[in-house]
Amino acid sequence: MRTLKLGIRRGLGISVGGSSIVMIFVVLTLTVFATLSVVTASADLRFAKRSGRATTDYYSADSRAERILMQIDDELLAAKDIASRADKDSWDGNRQKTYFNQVTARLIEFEGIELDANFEEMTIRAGYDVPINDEKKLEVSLIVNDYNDDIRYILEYWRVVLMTDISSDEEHELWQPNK
Amino acid sequence: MARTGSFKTSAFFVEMLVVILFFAFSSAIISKIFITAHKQSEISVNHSRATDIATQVAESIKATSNVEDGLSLIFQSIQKEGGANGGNVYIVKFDSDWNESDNESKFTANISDLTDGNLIIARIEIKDDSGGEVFAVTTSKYIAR
Repeated sequence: MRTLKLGIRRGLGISVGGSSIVMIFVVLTLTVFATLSVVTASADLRFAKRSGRATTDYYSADSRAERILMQIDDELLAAKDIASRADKDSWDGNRQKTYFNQVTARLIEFEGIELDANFEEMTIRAGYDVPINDEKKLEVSLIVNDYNDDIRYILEYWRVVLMTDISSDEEHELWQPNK
Repeated sequence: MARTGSFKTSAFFVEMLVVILFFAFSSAIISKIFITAHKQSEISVNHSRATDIATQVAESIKATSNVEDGLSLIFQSIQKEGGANGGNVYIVKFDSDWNESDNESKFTANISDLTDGNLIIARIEIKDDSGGEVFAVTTSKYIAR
């Protein structure tokens, strides 16, 4: 009976320092979780803002590319108008040839437009780049149709390309299939 | 013996008092950190959703070559108002979960039609209920004559 009483006293005795240890452990754990959640949330926010900026940059470049396309089409329309009057006063009366010469002469004046004109086959390919940011650019290429075609141009491509070189000089061992 | 016991008891209560005070102080700081994390997370979620919606709107306008047709492809309830310079402003309201809503509007998408001749220009602005801009983008589409 005596032993039991002592045992209870020892087990339930008020000890100093235990609650401090538990509290320090709880506070440390909460601090770690709080710090982790702030770090994760900041990373998410940075990513969301970067993604938003990339979207804004893309549509800004896309709008500039659309405007350049409009200016090119204006020149094609003007060239077509001149070619339509070529029957009477042109040196050879050939509308297609006049149209081709007019388009070449007009587009060559444009800054930033790369022109690929084949004088034998009378085909014109015009291309231009619009930078999106330091790493990417929007590449546009169009093929100018013949004078008689109702559709003045066909978009060959309208694509985003990387400006930085991602190729590596290092040689990697590649898996070879068993033949 | 009795004196030692009362000393131990008072030491325990002093320790408890210190522990409670320290815990209260540190939990206030930790709560603030959690609240900051929650707010940042909320901002990033709203920013991402606003970016998604603006991209959807821009792509559907480019696909249909018309602001109104593009919007009616993705939204059910669109309000149309007259904007500056004779252009139209289309308004779509969203609740706090980014679902389209007629009544509650936590977020609003204002799409201004700024078409200039054959160049369709649309300014897409997404704002929260305090009028703060969450995301904005301008898109264009040339319609060949």
